[in-house]
Amino acid sequence: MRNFKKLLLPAVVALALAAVNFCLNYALIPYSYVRIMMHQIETQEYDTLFLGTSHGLNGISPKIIEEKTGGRAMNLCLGGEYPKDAYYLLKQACKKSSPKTVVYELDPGYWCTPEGQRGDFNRVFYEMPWSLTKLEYFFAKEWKLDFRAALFPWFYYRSQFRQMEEILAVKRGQEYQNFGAGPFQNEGQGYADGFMQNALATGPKPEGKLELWDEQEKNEDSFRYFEKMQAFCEKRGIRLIVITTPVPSETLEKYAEKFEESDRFFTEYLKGLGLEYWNYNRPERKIKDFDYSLNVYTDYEGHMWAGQAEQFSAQLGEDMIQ
Amino acid sequence: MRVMEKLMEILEDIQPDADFDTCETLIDDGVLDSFAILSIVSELQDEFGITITPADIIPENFNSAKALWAMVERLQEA
Amino acid sequence: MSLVSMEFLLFAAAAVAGYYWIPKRCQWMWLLLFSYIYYASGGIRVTCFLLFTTLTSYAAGILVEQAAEKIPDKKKAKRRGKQVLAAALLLNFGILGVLKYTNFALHTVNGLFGTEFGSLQFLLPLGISFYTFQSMGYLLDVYWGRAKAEHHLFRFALFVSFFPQILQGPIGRFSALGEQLYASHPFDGKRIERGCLRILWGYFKKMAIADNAVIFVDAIFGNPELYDGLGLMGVLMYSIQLYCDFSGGMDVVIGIGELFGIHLDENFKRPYFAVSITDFWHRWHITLGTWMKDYVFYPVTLSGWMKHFSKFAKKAFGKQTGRTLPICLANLIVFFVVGVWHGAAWKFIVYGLYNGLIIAFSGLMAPAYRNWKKALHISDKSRAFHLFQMARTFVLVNISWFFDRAEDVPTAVLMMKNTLRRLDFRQVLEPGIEIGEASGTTFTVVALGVILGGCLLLFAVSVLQEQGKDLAEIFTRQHWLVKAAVYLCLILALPVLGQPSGESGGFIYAQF
Repeated sequence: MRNFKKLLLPAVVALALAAVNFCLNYALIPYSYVRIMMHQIETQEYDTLFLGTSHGLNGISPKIIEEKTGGRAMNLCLGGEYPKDAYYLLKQACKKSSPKTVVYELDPGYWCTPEGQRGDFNRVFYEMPWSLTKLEYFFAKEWKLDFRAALFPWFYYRSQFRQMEEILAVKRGQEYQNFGAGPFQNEGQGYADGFMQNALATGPKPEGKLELWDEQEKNEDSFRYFEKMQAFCEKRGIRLIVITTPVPSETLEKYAEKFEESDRFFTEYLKGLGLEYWNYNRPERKIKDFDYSLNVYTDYEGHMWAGQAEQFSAQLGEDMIQ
Repeated sequence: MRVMEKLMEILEDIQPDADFDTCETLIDDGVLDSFAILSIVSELQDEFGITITPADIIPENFNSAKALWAMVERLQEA
Repeated sequence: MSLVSMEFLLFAAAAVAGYYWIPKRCQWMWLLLFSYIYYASGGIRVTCFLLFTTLTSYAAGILVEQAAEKIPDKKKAKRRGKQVLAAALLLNFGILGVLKYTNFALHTVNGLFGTEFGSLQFLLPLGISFYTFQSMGYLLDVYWGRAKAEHHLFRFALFVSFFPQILQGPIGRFSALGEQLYASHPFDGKRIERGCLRILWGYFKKMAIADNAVIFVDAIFGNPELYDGLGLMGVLMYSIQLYCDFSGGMDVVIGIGELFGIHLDENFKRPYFAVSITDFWHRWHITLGTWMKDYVFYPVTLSGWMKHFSKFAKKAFGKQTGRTLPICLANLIVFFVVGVWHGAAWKFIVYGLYNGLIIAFSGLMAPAYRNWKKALHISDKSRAFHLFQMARTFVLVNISWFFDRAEDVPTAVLMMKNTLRRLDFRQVLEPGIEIGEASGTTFTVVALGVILGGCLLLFAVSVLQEQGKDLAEIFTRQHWLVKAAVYLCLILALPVLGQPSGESGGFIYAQF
C-alpha cells in the first residue's frame, strides 16, 4: 500500500502534465504543411525525392519534374531543414518509397551556422510518426535541445495563443483532417502542386542578413549527416545529385568572392565523396530565358517566384534525364 | 594563569562586545570574523612570541578562550 | 552537457536510477564512470586537462605526506614538502593562468607598449577554475596536515571530477566531501523528494526569473547610450538575474547531489539580506569566499613578509591600526584574486578591489564605528538599523554589479552617472527590448510581471529560510494532492513563464 502511495504522486503529476501537453499542443501549434508532407511520404511512393532548404521549397516544382522525368516526385525541402533533418526525412520516406534519385539542394549557410532551437526547426520531428527512425532522430537532435522544447512541444508556440481560435477552427475543419493545403493559400504565397509558390512581386527587395559561407565556422553536424545521407543512398543504389539554386545576379555580383569560395569548397568536398554538384550560379549552367534579376526574385537571398520555379524545374528535370 | 589573563585582555580589546567567559562557539556562531581572528593571531604572536600557521587556524583552537589558551601553551612549548 | 538540455536530464536520471540498483560498494565507481562520461562529452582533448590535474595533485598529495612522515630531519622534510607543493601549484595554476589570461596579458602589453601581439586560440576545459581550486585546496590541506592524502587513485579521481559540481561549483573540501563520495548510500525516498524539489526550484529561478530578467539586462547594458534612463532598472535586473541564475544553478547541482545522498556545501544564503559587504561575501558564492579565506587570506596574512610589514605598521601607526593594516592589505590581495577569477578584464579587477577596499576600510574603522554607535545609542539589534544596513549594503553591491556587467570601466562609470542624472523608466516601452520571438509593450509588461511575481515568491521563501525554517521538510509532510499541485505549478512555470534560453542556453557560471 505504501509503495502504491509513493508511486501515486509521480503518476498523477505525469498524467496531469500529459493532459496539459495534449491540450496546449492542439491549441497552440498551428497546422503546418509539414504535416501534409509527412502524410504523403507515409502513404505514397516516389521515384524522386528533393531535400534541402527554403530555396528548394520555393524553387522546385515536383509537377514539372514529373513531366520531364516520368516518375513521381516529392519536394521535401523546408526552411530550416539542416542536413540532419534531411537525413531523417529521407530515412522516413524510404520506408514506403524506393526512390531512384535524391536531389539535395545545398545552401552553404546551413553548413556554417548552428541549428536553431525555435519551433519550426523542430517541425519535422514533431510531425514524424513514432518509430525507430524517430527514436534515432530524437537522440540526434532533440536531446541536445532545451528540455522544454523536447518535453513541451508547444513551448516555442506560446505567442500563438492570440491565434488560438483560428488554430482550433482549422484543426476542426475538413482540410486538416484530409491533409489539404487549403489553409496555406494567401496573397503572397500558397502551397500548391507540391511546393510553396511565391507570387510575383516586382520592385526593390529588402536585403536582410545573408548567411553566406564561412569556412571557419563549419557546422560539423551538417557534414556528418550529409555523409550519412550519401552512405544511405549508396547502400540502396540511389543516385544522389547535389544542386545549388540560382540567386539574383545582383546578389551574385555583390558577394562574388563568397559565392566563388563556397563553390570551390563544395565542389572539392563533393568530388571527394564522388558526387555530382550542379551549382546553377556557375556561368556554364546559365538557364536560357531565365530572369536572374532581383526585380522578380522575392528577396536578395534568392527565393524564386512560381514562374521562375517552373522554368528552373524544367531545366533541372532535363539535366536529370541526361 | 597570567597567560589566561593577558589573553582575555587581548580578546576584549579586539572584540569588546563578545562574551569570552562563557562562549564556546566563537567561530561556529560567527562571533569572531576573519579580521578579528587575524588580529587576535597578530597580538598572540607578538605577546607570547609564538608562530601561528594557517594549519592552526581551525575552529577547535578558536571556538573558546580556553581553546585559545591551550593552543598558546602548546605553541610555547614547541 | 548543458544543464538545461534534455540530454542532461536523461543522463542524471540514468545515473540516479543505476546508483540505487547496483551493489552499494560500487556506488562510488558508478559516480566516477558517469563523471567521466559527463566530462568526456565535452571533448576528449579537454579531458586530458582534467586527468593532468587529477594525476599531479594525487601524486603531490602522497609525496607531501611521505615527506612529512618518512624524512627524519624535520627541516629537510619541510623543504621537500614545500618543493612538491610549489611544483604542483605552479603547474596547475599555471595552466589555468595561461588558458584564461594569456590573451588579456597580451592585450595589456599591447596597450602599454604599443606592440601588436595577436590573440591566441585556447581550449578552455569546462569547470577548470572550479576543479583546479578544489584539488589545490586538497593539496594544501594535506600539506598543512588538515587532511590525510588519498592513496586510492580512482577514489581521488572522483573527488576531482564529481559531475554535479564540476561545471560551476560549489568548491568542496576533501575532508567533508571525500568521505561522502566513497560511502555507500541506501535509497531514501524522502531525500529523493527533497532533491527533486530543490532541482525544480533551481530551474524555476533560472528559467522563470533569470531568463526574463536577462532580456532587459542585455538590452540595457548592450546599448547604454540608447537606454541611458534605464541604468537603475538594468542594474536591479542584473541583481535579480545573476542571483537567480547562479543560485538556481546551485540548487540544481546541490539537488542532484542530494539524489545521490551527497551533501554539497551551500553557496548562497540570502545574500541580499546582508548587513555589510563582509557579510555579503559570507552569503554570496560562499565556497569561493571560504576557499579564498583558508588558502589565500590566512596564509598571506601569516606569511613572513607580512609579519615584517606588521611590525613596521605597528611602529608607524600605533597598535590598533598597525595590526589591522596588514590584514587589510591581505584582504585587498584576496579580492584582487577574486576579481581576476571572474574574468580577464580590467573591469573585473576594479570589481574585486572595490569590494576589497570597502571591507578593508570597514575593518580599519571598526573601533570607530563601535564608538559612534554607542554615542548615537544605535543598537545592533534595532530593526530600523538592521534595515538601514541591508539597504546600504544592497546599494553598495549594485554599484559593484555595474563594474561586473558593463562593457568596461568607463561605461560602468557613465551608466552610474546616468542613473543619477537621467532616470527615465518610460524608455523600457521603446522598441528594441525583445522578448523571445515577439516584442512590444504587451510582452514587456508580461515579462516584468513575471519577474515581479517570481521575486515576490522568492522573497517570501527567503524570509522563511532566513528565519531558519526548513521549507523542504515542511513540504514533504504535506498531503500528496498539495504536493502534486506544487510540483505541477513549478514544472509548468518553466515552459509557461520561462523564455527560450539564448544560443548558449546554459547557466552563466558554467563557463568558468
